[in-house]
Amino acid sequence: MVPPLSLTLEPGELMGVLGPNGAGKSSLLSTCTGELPVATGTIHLGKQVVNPNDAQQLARSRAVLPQQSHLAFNLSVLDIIQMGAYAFPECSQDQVNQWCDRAVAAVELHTHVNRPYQALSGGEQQRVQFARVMVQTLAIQQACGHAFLFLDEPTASLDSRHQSLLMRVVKRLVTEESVAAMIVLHDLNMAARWCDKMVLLSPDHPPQHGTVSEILTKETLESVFRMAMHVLPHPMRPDGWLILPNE
Amino acid sequence: MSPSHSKAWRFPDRRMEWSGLTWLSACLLIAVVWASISGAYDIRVLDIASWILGAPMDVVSANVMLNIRLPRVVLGVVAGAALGVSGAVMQSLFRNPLAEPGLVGLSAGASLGAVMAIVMTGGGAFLIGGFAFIGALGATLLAYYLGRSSHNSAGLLLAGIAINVVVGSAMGLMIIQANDAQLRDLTFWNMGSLAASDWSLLLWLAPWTVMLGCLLVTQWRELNALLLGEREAFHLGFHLRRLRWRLIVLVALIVAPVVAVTGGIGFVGLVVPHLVRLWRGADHRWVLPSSAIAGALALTLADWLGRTIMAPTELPIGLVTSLIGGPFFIWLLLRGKRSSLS
Amino acid sequence: MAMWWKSVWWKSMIIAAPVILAIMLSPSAVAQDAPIPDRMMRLSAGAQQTVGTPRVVSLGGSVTEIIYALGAERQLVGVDQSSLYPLQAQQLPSVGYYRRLPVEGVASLRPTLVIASEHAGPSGVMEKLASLGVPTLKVSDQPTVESLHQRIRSVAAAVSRENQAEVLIQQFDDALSRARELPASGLRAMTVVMRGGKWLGAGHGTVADVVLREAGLNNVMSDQASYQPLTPESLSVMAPEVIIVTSGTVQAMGGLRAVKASPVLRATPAVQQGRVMVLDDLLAQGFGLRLPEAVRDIRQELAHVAKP
Repeated sequence: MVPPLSLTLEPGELMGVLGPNGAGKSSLLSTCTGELPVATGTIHLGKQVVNPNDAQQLARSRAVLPQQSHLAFNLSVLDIIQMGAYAFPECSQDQVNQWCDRAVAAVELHTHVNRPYQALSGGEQQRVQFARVMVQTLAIQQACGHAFLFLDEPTASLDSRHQSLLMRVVKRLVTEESVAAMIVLHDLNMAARWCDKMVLLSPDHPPQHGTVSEILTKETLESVFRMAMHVLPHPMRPDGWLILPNE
Repeated sequence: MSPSHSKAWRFPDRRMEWSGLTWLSACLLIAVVWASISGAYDIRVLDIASWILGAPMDVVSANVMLNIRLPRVVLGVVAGAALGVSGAVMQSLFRNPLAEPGLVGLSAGASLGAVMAIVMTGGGAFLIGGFAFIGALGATLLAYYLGRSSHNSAGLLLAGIAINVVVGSAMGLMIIQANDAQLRDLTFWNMGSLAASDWSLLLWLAPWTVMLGCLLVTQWRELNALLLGEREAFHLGFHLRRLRWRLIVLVALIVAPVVAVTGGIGFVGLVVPHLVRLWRGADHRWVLPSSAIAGALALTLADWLGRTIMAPTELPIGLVTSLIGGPFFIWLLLRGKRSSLS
Repeated sequence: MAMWWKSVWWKSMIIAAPVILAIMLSPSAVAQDAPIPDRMMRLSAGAQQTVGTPRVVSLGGSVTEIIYALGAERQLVGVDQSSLYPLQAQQLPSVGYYRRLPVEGVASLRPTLVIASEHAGPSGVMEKLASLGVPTLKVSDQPTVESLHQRIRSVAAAVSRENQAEVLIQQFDDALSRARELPASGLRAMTVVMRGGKWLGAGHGTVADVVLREAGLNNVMSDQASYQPLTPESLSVMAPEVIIVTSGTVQAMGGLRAVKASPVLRATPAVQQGRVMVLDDLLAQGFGLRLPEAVRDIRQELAHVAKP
């Protein structure tokens, strides 16, 4: 259940969705991507109203990176990356190749391109999925100028190194291509590190949204997560924050 | 951080897959020619060759080749293609390597129709075929109706299993009332046969199958996307309920007439797509047409084997496909992780 | 755009499906062979069939039996799976089950004549053979004496043994009436076969039932239709005093002892008192030339236990 909320996502911004379990983070994301219908109100992606029944129109407006993908039969990495352009059958193969080229370069998978997907590690597989999502995003960007990206806990099953690799690539795409992105995260520090804006959902408080500095305050976090939190200036990064839960 | 990489990789130009298709088509052509000139009735190849060049051939031989054998071979091609391509579709739709066209109640419905025709009426070829067709479509639509409210394909799968079980019981009830001859007829129907083929049948069955086969082949993007998962397929722009419905209907329409005419032929829809994937990968742009051609090849050869290995008697084709397909499938399973099965 | 034609297409498929069904069910869709081009009608000189040597394919155990009884067995070049008697017939090439005949297989024996039981199938196979230029003959095959007479006459005419036909018919009638005169025991009996791992008993509507009644026995399964599965419980209720089992079943079970020891049958009075008779399949389940033999054997065997 998603509490009543009014949000705007700006291009080039990465908005993090945080909160304890059961607060409705995934539901919020699913509603935005068009998987769940909206109870009241509407969602617009650019000028387009989100209509869960028009899957093709949605795919031409937004791309979604899921947490994990299990492939039923073994496809090659390139096969999967090219799927990002499926919503755009009118585009030439050359155009698709160009996008794939950029995506593969961005996620640094050029040595794995013709390998079977299931032979890759979890971190590499998630980068492949991101490359696919990137192809879709680039296609959307070219078709209508503003692309939306939704990420559902994409780093949940990755180790630290792959987590930061992936987030770096996500952030680059968002800033370089002016994509409006929403990401559901569990890790407060990761959100602090990468997000520009934040939405904090809570089962018993009204949702709060704003910039990272506005949301990441000790009082806000403690009331939402109901445990002691320390918010410290980041020792390494000048504008960064370090959040330490205190048990 | 952008490394100025030299392109160490290239886009595959699909040459592998095209060559695979060409190979398969060539093998199919050879198999068709071979199955047409070889059979229980001895016709010398020299006679056939000289006949093609204009010399007369005796009536019986000509008749055997043109009106008995050739329709069977063409039916084998058509039925094999239908079974092969729909097996591939079902496996991807349900993301299950054990799926085959009969999974959603198709074969069970066809069998029930055939049983009813055999036991309740006299059971002429057309009556059995018509009932089997209705049964196949009816069972599939019922399974779809029962499973459609589920938001993923598991509901459809369960409904198909339920239909299979219920139909099996209904068949049992009918079988109890069957007399000996009817029981034998049913057993043979279940084992399948291409003997019911003739040109008037192929006149509508062949174009129908080709048309539906082409429609199925156009779904390659949808099926590729389904391999990622149902949610991901939706994200890529495919409306799931409509897609599921479309695929089920196409599969039912392409397989039901075939099953009605040939009876139960198993393993082709199950094993052929796996072999095709093993050979050149799971991309449906390749898998769908190749499963059709490979299925046609398999059935043509299986029928030839059944007709000639114990001449003058004939092994039912379903028996041949089970005897060969069964061990093949076990071999596929034993290959384990190295195979296309996830 | 590219998508709309797809949705129209598959909708029209659904509409077309009933049309296809109608075509399939319409009787006008009868098999039509492709017309043979003129040049093939000319028989090439070398392929002329010699009219002299008859080559007969016999389909149906009773038909084969009659051919041997008429002394025309040298004309036979092929039989079917059910042609089990006499034993020499099993040496001939077999085309398989007579209700599921392979057209090409039958034709490959180059027969000058195919004589088949009226039950031969699948439907249309005899017509297909005829269209190949193979003369075919369907004979009556019902479990009645009249049908047998007809069968003998038809077969005899086909193999040019008309004079023997009447002799055979007379022999059969005499033997049957003599056999019928033997005392009927009226014992409770059943005919059983093992099929697919299950014991089945013959109810009414089977030829085995007719044989039992001719043999003067009381079929305990006559209230059931066709062949029905047997269980120890049902057999304890029916309690047959005589059991007839086919030799094919005995062979499959590995001997009469195994049959008697089977859990389904062993508690029956028939097995307890040793009244299990073995008849070959054609005899137990067929209405053929040897029916008087079967009747006589059974009646004689059970004469000493006939009820007063």
